Amino acid sequence: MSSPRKITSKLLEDLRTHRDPDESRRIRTSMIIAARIASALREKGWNKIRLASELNKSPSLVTRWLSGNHNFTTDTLSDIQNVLGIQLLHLEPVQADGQPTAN
Amino acid sequence: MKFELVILDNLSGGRTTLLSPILEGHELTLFEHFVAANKKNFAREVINLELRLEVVGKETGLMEEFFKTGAGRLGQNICTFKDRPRSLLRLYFIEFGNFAIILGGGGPKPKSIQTSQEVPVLANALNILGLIADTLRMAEKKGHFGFDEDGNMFSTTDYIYDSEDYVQPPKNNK
Repeated sequence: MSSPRKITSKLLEDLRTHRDPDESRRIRTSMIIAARIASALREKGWNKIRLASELNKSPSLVTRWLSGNHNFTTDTLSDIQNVLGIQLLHLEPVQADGQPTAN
Repeated sequence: MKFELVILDNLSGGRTTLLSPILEGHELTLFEHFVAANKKNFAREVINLELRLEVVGKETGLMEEFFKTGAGRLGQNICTFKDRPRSLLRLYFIEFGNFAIILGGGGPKPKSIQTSQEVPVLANALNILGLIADTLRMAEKKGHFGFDEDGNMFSTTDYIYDSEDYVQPPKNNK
């Protein structure tokens, strides 16, 4: 079974060289967090309204979280991971010098 | 209208295949025409949109939460990404579940405008992609195009389609 012809676009390659690394990282992070939340909702059999209700937020806010465009606060991420039982923030205890505590 | 579907290798990955049609007589895909037309006046938006497409293709897949449906007629499955704050650009695409998306054209849609049909460049992009969507749906019905149960795409025509072979031309309302 053959696939469509693949092209590598010079125009898109050129566009990529103009990406802002910080902005790109933020966009990618928002999309991946949204994907993780959506995946956790599916696994729990919850919909957006249930998540909104659990967190005492509006369903439209949850829609914005899942759009892949949202600038999350650490409070919001902490609340979401708590109700969904997933890890969105990876935090380890730190020593006085700021380094993670060795296990 | 004759076109060939090609895979945009820059954007496609293990999660979703991103394709775009090349219309007969053109060298660029519809998506590349969109980029070329808007990269000067909407540079930041075009660059970020291209990145988002790459993340969809390689990392997240196309999640229904990322996009809005209903840009075209019922059954055409023409979608746009949900608005980012201060974003103006609309890019139209056809979704085939999480397997593949076919990128069309688009352009700027001022916030003051209610419907895309009021903006000629958007109306034109929507009409072209709508015809492609209708063609592919008919090709699917005839077994000339589609996806198997593993999500593998197939074509009996080397992914080259002529809308005249599949879609009735609109009747002239005289």
